[in-house]
Amino acid sequence: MRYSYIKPRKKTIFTPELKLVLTFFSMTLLMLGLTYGFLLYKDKMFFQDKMMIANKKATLQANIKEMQAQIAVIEKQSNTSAKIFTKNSVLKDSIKNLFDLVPQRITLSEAHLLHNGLILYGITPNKDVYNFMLQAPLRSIFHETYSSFYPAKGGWLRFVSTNYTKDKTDEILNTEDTSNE
Amino acid sequence: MFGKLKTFLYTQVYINILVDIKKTTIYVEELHFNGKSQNHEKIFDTTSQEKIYLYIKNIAKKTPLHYISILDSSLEQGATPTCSSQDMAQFCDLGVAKHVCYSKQWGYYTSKLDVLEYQKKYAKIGLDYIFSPFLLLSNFFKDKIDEDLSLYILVQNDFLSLCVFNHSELVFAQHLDMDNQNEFQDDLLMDEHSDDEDLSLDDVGIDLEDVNVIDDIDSLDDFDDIQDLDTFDEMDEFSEDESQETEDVAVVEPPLDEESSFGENYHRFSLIQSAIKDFYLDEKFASDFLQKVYIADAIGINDELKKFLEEEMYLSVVIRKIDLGVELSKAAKAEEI
Repeated sequence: MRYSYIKPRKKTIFTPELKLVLTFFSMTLLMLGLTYGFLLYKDKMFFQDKMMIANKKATLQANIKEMQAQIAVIEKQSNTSAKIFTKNSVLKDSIKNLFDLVPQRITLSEAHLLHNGLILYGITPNKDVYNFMLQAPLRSIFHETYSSFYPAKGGWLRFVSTNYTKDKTDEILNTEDTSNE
Repeated sequence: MFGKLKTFLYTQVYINILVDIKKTTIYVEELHFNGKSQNHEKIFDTTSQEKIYLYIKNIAKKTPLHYISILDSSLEQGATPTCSSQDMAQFCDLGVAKHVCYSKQWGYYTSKLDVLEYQKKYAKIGLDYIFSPFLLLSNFFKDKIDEDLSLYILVQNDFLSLCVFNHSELVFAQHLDMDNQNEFQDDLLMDEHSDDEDLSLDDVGIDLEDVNVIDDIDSLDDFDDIQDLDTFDEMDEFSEDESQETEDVAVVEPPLDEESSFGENYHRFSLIQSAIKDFYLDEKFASDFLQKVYIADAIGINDELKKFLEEEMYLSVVIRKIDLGVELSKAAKAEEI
């Protein structure tokens, strides 16, 4: 009910002292809130970084595995190449030895290098030259040597020399066969 | 909810200002959240306004929930038996008066200029409420105004506020200034002096019978129809009621100066008498015959006024002591709700 001639002044509970206290507390709460928010943000960022690093680590580990596989292949290839190089060197030496073995009076027209043998085609002036100068060293190298001759122009002879070495396994098998007999 | 929080946080303080020519009374009521209240009052010399402002400021700064009320003592105030602005125009000039309606039955008004004057005067401390003495009077006699036609008077040092209620309906109201008291006393003194002169003149043989000492006696002739009053048996009933009522009445402080008190009381009586005369004569008011007077005594009047009213006007008088500070505080509290 309003029975007064004038309206009362507006009463506020926010006195200067209360305003000061409220300001202080609100500032404190605001700072706490900001700190909490900052920590939450940092925590989130840290978690994201952690996840990123884990992913990176997994990727790197996968890369390492891939690279290790590649290294293995390369090592294998390297070994293979070294082996081939060695074989080629051996082959080169063998060919050189073979050509050293062939006397000047005999001419080779074709040579087949086999895994366990050697087939030579050529021309010889006569059988003796072939038998003494080529077959003799071939016999000393190979276990089995077969020679065939065909007449050529001018009295010369074409020859085919087939030479085989026995493998150790073959030798073992042969020895076993003979023992069984 | 917010209001309760406010009252929980702060004590409500009601500062009530009662001003008269000589002294200003500051009645303070502190209302705590647990319902307990403390009150105290201090009286200042009305001229020492700065002290009053300082005192009120010191109290007000204790809590933001302080309400400063003042009792209107404007000379241009009154009450109207209607709330309708059309009907009200015959009682006051609505252009210059501030009007408040009470329970949609009757209203009271005061001068807008005086309200502004109050606000200007107390601008340093601020005012929350300005209450009419008619409001306090009707609140104080709330249990009586529903009775048959009766006169209700608030007696202050400088003012008399009169209301006539008939079954809670306001019939008539006047706010009278006691400021003429000095003039009246001067008149009385002059009368006494003239008696001396008369005595002296008597010696020289002037006929004193030609001198009309109390002119106001003529005005009492208007009350000839007092003979139409009820029987004396009924008057006895009044006197019984009165004795019951006066049990509640606080002891009236004896006046310091009996002659001055007599003069004041007689002046009050004459003012009441003229007001009643206005009530009977003015066609604006639907007047009937008054038999009972309820007086709210704010200053501690003695039995003389009662005696005047009873003996001269054959009215049944009931006096209740009123503490205006308390009533003002009650009004302010009711206002806030």
